[in-house]
Amino acid sequence: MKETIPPRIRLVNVTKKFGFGDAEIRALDNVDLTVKKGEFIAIMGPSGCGKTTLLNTLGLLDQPSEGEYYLDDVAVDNLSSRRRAKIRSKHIGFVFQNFNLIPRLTVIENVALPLTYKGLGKVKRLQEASRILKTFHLGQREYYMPHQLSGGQVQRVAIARALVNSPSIILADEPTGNLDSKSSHLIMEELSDLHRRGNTIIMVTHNPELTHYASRVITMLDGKIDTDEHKEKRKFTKKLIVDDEKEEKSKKQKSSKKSRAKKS
Amino acid sequence: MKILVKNHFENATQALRSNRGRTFLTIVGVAIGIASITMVLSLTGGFNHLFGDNSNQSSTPVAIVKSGNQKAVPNLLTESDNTTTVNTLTETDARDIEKIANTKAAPIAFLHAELRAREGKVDIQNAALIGSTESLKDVANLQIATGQFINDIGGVVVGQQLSVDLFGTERSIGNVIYIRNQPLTVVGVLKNIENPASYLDVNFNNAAIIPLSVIKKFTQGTPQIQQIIVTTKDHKNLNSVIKSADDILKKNHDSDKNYRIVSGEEINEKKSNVARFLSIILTVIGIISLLIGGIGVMNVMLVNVAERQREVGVRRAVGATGWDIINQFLIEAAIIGFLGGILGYGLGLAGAYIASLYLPLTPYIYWQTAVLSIGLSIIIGVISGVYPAARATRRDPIESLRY
Repeated sequence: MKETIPPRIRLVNVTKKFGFGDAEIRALDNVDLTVKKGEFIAIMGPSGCGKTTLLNTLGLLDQPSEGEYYLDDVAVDNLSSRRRAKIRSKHIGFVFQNFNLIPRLTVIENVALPLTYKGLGKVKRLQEASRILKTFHLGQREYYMPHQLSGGQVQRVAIARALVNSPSIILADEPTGNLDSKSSHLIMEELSDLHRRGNTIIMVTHNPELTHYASRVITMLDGKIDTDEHKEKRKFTKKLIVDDEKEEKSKKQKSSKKSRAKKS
Repeated sequence: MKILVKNHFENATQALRSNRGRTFLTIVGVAIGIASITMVLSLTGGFNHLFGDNSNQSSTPVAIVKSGNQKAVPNLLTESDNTTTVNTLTETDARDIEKIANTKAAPIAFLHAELRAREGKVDIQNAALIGSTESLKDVANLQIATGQFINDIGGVVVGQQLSVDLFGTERSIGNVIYIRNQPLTVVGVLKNIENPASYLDVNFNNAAIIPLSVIKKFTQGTPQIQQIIVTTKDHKNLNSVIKSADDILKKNHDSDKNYRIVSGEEINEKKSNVARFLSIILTVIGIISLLIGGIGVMNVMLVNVAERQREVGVRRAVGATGWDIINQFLIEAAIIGFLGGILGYGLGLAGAYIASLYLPLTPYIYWQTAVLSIGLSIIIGVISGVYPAARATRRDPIESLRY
């Protein structure tokens, strides 16, 4: 996070094909994309337009068929799976739609998981995981199993896990897809809070409402970038948070406490 | 490059602990496979041990001189035909053969007689009464537990089992055995012999040994020597020893070939065809159970890993390399294989001993059985645990995440 000059992400003519011959589908079709540090990008578009493929490619879970991908100005499009795993471990945090916590592990073990692969010792891992869980107001839930938590809480755990190795990019694939609108806004608050602290966030979403949180909205169509608009988002987020706060206060004490913590 | 062995180990134990049910069932699955292997192998071992190889004996038998000249080879599972022939060997034959350098010769005269002890009044029908000389101790490699071996004049040495059967104790020195109402004092008790069925056709655990000079009183003054066992320390000149023995016998018997010398491979031919056949069948069963047990272990491990595809995907998404995943599953599989192997080995032994209550065999455990079954458990467990994990790591993580 120290270097400022090179763009965080640069995609040049990235194409991703699935299938062969007649059945060939271009999930990504010559996509060019540059992401600067500190951006909060929302990717929109109909189903099957390649949003998720783009995100997976950005997250090095998937390799492009053609094209170049520079992460912090380092070419990463043709690395071995081992090197890609190392980069994921160091630079990328994932938040999935269906959370993808390991159901048999406790919350804190799940959050500590990425640190395992960075080679941290057990005590350090758990300390770090505990610290990050506290910032998400889940300190009380450390030794719960994922299925004992609500959807919103599980997703916060998933975000905590994505953040625990202090990645330079956070990729979120419909992070609110399985949540009700109230939990969705809570999650979005967390994300925009991360954004305010300088993290680069790329989020895929179906919900146009949530694009208000983003600083840049990209819509995709048939594997191509259709529109790409930078926007002034502070006003919207502020307003929404205030809205939320009112709602929370009237309903739940715990949630309102959190909002206050956020405000300060 | 950082070595994450400790982390992998923690991961593996964490995964095993966090899913106790699955771990337990997997271990049980492995254990059942290994138990069946162990059971069959230890019973097979017991069978083979019964007809065991005598290769560990310190003095090798060179030849057995037999009365009569029929070709029958002695064996355990058919009635011995020695008693039906006229016994032509004499004490002198044995004594003369013993004069060959480095050679011992022990005459063996069986007598079918009832052994009685006054105290218990136990009739022993199946005990062997053997008349022999002091040489028998060396020839048959007998060990004295208490007391001493017979000398030429008198006394009786009993096998451990016989001692227990007659007197109810292994320390029966000084007790009296009655043979056809003749009292004989026990002067020594043999150590338990683990390998009772030997080329001698005698189970010394269940035998009473008395001097030739005593036994011949029961047979009108002439000992009925069925065979003379010849051993030598001179391993290099087996043939010359046999030759000399033959010469001596020829002279003693006036060139009348009413004896025969069984030597070399014929002696080692301990197993009858039936025994050999059984041994082959048991070996085949052992191999089949190895296969079945192995496949059982494999199946359990494959399922165990297959249902964790998604976990593999998650772990990879958060930065695990393929090797990280493989190492974790390797350690998990090794732990499961090891625990399952030990549990299965214990179960198998227990099963074998229970089965042996209804079988005429005692299971015998070669250390190889333990190594084989536990080793097999770990090896098959690791292979079949790591293989699907390795396959899962080869595809893109998102594919694993779709599960």
